[in-house]
Amino acid sequence: MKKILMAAALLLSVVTMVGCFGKSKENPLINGVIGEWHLTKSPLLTDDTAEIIDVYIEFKSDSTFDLYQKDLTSPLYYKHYSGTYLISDSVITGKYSDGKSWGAVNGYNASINMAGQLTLTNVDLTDDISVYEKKTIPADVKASATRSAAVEDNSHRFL
Amino acid sequence: MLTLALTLSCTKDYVESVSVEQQHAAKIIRMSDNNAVGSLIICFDDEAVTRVEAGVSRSESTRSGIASFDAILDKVGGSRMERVFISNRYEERLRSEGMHCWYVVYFDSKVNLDNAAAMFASVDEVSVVQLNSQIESIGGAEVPSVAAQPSSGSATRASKLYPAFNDPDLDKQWHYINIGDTNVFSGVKKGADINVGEAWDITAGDKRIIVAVVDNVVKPTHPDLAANMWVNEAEKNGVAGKDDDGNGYVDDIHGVNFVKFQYDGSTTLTENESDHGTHVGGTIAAVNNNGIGGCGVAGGTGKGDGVRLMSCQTFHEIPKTDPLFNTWPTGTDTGAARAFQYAADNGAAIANCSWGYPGRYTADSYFTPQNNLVRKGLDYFVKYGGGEVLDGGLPIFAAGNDKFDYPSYPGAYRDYICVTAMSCDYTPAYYTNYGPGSTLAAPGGDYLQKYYTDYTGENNSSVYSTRYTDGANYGYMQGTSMACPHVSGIAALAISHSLQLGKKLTSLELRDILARSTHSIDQYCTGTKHSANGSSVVTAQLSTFKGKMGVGYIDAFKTLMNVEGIPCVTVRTGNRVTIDLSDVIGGNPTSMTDKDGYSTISVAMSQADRSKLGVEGDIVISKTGKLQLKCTKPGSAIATITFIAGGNAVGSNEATGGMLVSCKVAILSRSFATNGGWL
Repeated sequence: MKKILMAAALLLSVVTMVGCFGKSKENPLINGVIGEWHLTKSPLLTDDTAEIIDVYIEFKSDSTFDLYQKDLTSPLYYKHYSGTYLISDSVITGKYSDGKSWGAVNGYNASINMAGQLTLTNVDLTDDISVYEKKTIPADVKASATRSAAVEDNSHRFL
Repeated sequence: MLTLALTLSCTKDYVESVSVEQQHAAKIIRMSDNNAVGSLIICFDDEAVTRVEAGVSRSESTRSGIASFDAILDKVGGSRMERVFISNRYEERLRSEGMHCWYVVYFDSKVNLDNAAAMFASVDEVSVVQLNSQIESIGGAEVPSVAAQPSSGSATRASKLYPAFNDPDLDKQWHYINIGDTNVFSGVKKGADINVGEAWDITAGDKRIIVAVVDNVVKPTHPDLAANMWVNEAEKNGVAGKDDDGNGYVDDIHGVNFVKFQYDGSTTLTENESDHGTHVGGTIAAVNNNGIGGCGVAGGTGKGDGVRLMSCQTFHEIPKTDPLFNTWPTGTDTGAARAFQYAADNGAAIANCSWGYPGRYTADSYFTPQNNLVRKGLDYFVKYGGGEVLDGGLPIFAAGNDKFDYPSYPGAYRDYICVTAMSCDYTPAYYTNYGPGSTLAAPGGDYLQKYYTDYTGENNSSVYSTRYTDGANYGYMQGTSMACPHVSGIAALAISHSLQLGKKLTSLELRDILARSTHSIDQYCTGTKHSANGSSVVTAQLSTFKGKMGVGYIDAFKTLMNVEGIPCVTVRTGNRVTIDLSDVIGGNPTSMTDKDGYSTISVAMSQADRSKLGVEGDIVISKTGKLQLKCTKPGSAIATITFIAGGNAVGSNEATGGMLVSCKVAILSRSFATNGGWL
């Protein structure tokens, strides 16, 4: 009887351990990235480009994202992109809703530090490191993106 | 011995005499063969001018205080002398620029000008004698006059060219938005316009911007202009006959008639005369969306937001039957120089100049501030103009209507925008001047292509705007005079947009933005078209114009885009890429190569920036604006592109040439998505 109880205890322990193992496999990045982010560091961000480059990303819990970036051809306005993303281990990959893959086709190595900063490092181009901080996307950025949609269709854009 | 002594003596005298005469002759400046009789422009040296100022004030402007000069005044029947640049609240800066040294002297109109000039030049205290040249309003010889056509009414309906505006005659203004309507011309080509519709989506003007129309009168009471006329409130609400605002002029409510001012001191604009200025003014800022007539490029949205027109009347048409005809020469250096001072002192940002000097001048040395009064005025405007909206003023000139392969000065000068004329099918207008010194093209209309191809006398292929004569308020005209205000209007829109963005451009920045907001016109310079030689119709070979119309035809929307900031191009890290920059720097930065075949466009990047991007190999740019480079690292850097607008060399004292234009482009190296997305 004692042996049976021991066996049961071991089994329970294994089950518990299995349960623990199962829980630990839930990638903390999955919940960690969810939210609204603002680009704060990039090799492209310099004094010369500070007025040109501005990027906000919202990663949603349904594995979709919304990206708002200053229109490089018309810095008054923002462009709005959306699509889906996937996190596998520490790598985040994604596709835009128009079917195009992210520029980093093999994705970004993602990490969140103690200060809550999200760092995305291009898997294929390790110099390409972008740092984001949590920030609510301003309403005027979203509103401006609506304006840019009309502009975007314009064939006379110079780029 | 005696003979030898006499010979030596004579020889000595002769040599000295020639030398002195040569020195005197070198002081005399003549800009054209048409000079105003009975007046000369004199520049005194710095030391003498103090004595002159004392003399002028002592003797009611009939004496200079310099004995030898006054003796000549007596000989030529001198009646009066006065400062060209009017003393006013800006006297300190006028003096700092040496503008107080320039005087105009009036004398008997029967006196031979060359003799008078030689006499005044012999005075030691005189540094320059300039014949008071007559400038030419570019209506143009051989440009058939066309009758004004009445407005189609005041019905308020949306224009099919731009539905947001209800101006009924906008549909006639193909030069703004060309939809390929064959009523304009059977060979019309859609898009041969200034693309202003898309610009109007962003801005249609700003009432803080003042455009000086240096021309004959802009009729201030015209129903489609009155609301956009500049108003000098101090004079409007001031005391009649008093210079209420201290700008040197009395009762100048909408501008000044500089011809009348020169002769009787009054400033009254003369409304009832030639409509060249009124047509030009309408193209810049006829009131938009007011239910009548046509539109102006920067005429606002009908909410009082159009740019303001300042009438600087430098031409005043006096009938030949008028006894004043021979004594009131119109369109002189004196009036033009004063107009530029006035425009600067009263806050104008743009000066539209649809005029030039007749005659051929082939080098910029004819037009230096040391030898030309108008240049002096222009320099002052460029430095002190702009008002609150632009840092410095920007003059814009017409190229001229003589079919010459060189544009008229002052427009031909390397620092000024000089506008050639395009037809409604992109081809050069038959009358336009072209060649080195021409900066860019704009629609000017072409009556002959309609007349001799469609065999109709309708003027639909000319430019439609406000007019005065023939009892109608609207009508068609053609010419580089009409092309020029399209560019001035676009310049005003550019300033308006810069104000929207909260930035203040410099006039040099604006000039360069205009010069690189164009599309190439060269591909249309093939085949033939009708032209005129005197009263005869001839065939013009369009290839003649290739590469000589400036950098291309202007695009209002592209101009606004270029106002918004440093253009960016994205390159994929690791790849050698070719980027088409033609839309950033114009379609045809230069169509010419130097004698060795090298392009006159160049690109530069600092060594630090090259290292930052890990640039491998050369960064090259083709004359058609294709940039090629390879970046091995992600990052951003600035490339500076420089090119010549209007020729294969920059204008110089030796030859007329183009304008040096520079443009910064931000190069962003990263793995952007192919749809431009950041990730």
